[in-house]
Amino acid sequence: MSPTTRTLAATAAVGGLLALTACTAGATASSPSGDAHDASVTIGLTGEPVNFDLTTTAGSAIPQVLMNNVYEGLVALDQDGELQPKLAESWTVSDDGTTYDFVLEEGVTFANGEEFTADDVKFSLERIATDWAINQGKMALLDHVEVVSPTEARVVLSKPSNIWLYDMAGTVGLMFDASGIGDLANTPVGTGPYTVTERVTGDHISLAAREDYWGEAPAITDVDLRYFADVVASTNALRAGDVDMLYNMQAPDLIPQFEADDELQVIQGSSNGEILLSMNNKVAPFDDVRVRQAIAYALDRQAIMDAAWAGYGESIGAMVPPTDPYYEDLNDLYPYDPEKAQDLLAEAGVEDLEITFDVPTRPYATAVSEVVVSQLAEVGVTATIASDEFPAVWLDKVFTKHDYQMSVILAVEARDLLATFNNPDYYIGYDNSEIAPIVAAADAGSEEEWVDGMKEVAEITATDVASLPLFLFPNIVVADAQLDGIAGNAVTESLVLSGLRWD
Amino acid sequence: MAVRLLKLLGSFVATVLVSTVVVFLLLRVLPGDPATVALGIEATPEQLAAWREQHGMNTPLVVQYLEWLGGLLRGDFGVSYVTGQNISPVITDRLQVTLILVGLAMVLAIAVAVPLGTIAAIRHQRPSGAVISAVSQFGVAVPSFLVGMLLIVFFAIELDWLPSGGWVPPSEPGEFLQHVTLPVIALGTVQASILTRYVRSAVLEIQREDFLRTARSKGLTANLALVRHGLRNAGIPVLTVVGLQMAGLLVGAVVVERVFTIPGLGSYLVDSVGNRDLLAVQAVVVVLVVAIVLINFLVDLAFTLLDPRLRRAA
Repeated sequence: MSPTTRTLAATAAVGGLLALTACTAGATASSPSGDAHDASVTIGLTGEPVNFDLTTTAGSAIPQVLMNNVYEGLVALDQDGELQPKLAESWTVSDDGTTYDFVLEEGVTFANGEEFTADDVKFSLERIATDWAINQGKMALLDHVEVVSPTEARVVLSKPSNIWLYDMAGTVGLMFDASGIGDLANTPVGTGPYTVTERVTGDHISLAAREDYWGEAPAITDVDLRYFADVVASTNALRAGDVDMLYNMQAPDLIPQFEADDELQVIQGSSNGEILLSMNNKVAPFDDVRVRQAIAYALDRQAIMDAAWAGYGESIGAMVPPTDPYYEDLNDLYPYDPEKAQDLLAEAGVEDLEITFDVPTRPYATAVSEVVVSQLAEVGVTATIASDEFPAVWLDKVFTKHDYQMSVILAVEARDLLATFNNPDYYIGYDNSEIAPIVAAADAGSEEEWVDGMKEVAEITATDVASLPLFLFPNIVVADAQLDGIAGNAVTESLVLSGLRWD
Repeated sequence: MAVRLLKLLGSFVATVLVSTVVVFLLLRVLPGDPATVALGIEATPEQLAAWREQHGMNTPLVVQYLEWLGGLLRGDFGVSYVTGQNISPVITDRLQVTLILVGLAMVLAIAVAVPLGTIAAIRHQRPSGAVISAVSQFGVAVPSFLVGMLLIVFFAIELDWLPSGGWVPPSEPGEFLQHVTLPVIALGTVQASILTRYVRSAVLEIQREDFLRTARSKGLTANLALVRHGLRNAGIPVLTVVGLQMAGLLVGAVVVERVFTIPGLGSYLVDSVGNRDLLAVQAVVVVLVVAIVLINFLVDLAFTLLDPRLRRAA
């Protein structure tokens, strides 16, 4: 062997060794999609929480993990959107609708060992006005909380409200312990079935079931939530068996492929997210109701849903999802009718209309915008797309400065009809003095009156095309076929884990 | 030697300083308001104003810059706008991950490129040399994220040998190796291809040098002469490329970390830009600049050691 050959052979051997290490590592790897499932689940998500403090940090990422899993409220919404007792086993409302008497569950403890009592109800609700940085408006009606006994709390509102108890099923209704709020950003302490055991930013959050949970113990004791910035990376992980479930999957074109796979199940759940074609009611040409109505006639919403989101989703005619109590089918208010659209545009004197279309950099938005632009072109409207980085630029330009004509956004907030249209200073700029009194009367009235009033508001805003909901966004869940008890309907921001179990 | 070192050090400090100014200013003109991103759509104007005040965004830019620079000198990157946590420990964690990736990828690239490039040069007129040459040409053209995705499809999904992504620290060696293998190969192959081509041309050039003919004429075989006298000289141009590649790898890691969902410096940078976490972006960029300048500095230093002429000239 010549010296050179020897050197080369040595180098090759090193290279081979590297390759070998890789292979052995692979061979000894326990098969991630092994058949014997233990009591653990790995879930793939997008949008990682930046911290755990949902009292000061906005967005749905934190409540998705913590609500109903780590923290619990007095009441909670079930998968059909109905209010159910949680930490309160029952409640009564006074005749004037301002006083709520809650009877609390006994034997409930926080993860730090402290007992849950009426004092915690008082503490949690009353500190919202002083210590929370967000969502304070939802508890603005709160006058005070009386501790009647350790298991009885009386909540007094300054005026009756139909929405308040529903809001109590959201983040503002979550219960905290006075000694457990020292480090909300990192150490959440609640009464829920799980606690956070590990958080590696940019990678995963681990939850473990509490042994001293007051309610029924969850079947899954260990949950890993893995965060993916890239939708392809997340579907790869699912196909490789590295995750058991993808929640709110955002690549609809891949669904047929998953549906064809016997080892996977695809669930199309409902959500509160409307894909909203927002129009700035305060600037031309959308300050003219005829132009907005023309846009509604010009767009074939079913075709948009089919082309942009592979037909997944639900048609809606107003800013109200079918799971809301005041839903009414308004789909036929503005059927696809390009000729009518052109007539209305002519009537408004804006033929050959040119507009700018601000599109946030989100998959759904880019997909929707292309179809919208081509359909608008057919009625003589030239829409030029301006791409806005989301969230930073879109929030600043469109949402805060109202510097736009038309945009499209997924409005994820639950029951956001009023937030969107009953506020002239909102970025939509819909100013209709007619609806505020209807809203006030509805909120203070009986439940039937409330439902009727809200239906009226929905119909008025839909007729005026204050903005145009294109379709209801689906909550698509793709999971291992053996995983049961998946809460597929995104009725709140929360991803409820306690029902999960392996078949 | 000392003068040369001082000069190198001076340019090192100047480059870093200028880059801090550029980064700081660029981020201030970037559209988008950090306060709205942090507080979300339900925040009131008063809350936004209070947030800006609390995060020192109402003070003059010069003051903000100097305060930040002062922190940098103490090794303090400040507190993140978004998470409210100190940035320095996050940077340390993330940098570690990226350095492991880049380091292993570079080792892999060198381990593949040096023998292959040498063979390709020695046998440049034979088919085997031409094959290496052609394959490396192909490798240069394939972006690392594509290699990454192909590796995932093949090794993670089809064969189910290795995980499709994620990260486990080296303290758990078995798991660590499984998770690190595919990203390192994805990062390393492109660099290996580039490097192979440079090694090949460097060795080819060396073979034509007079001193090699002299070595052979005193009785050494062609290959022995190359190993004893040639490779060291071929090392200088190759070293330059390795230095440049380290910089390229640091940048390439941004993409590969995304594909494999690895919590390194790159994914931190991308997330922070999206969240308008200005201090975090500044921190990452400064770390990257320092790393790249440092690499260049070390390469310069290595030249001086490898090449006696440079030592004398200084």
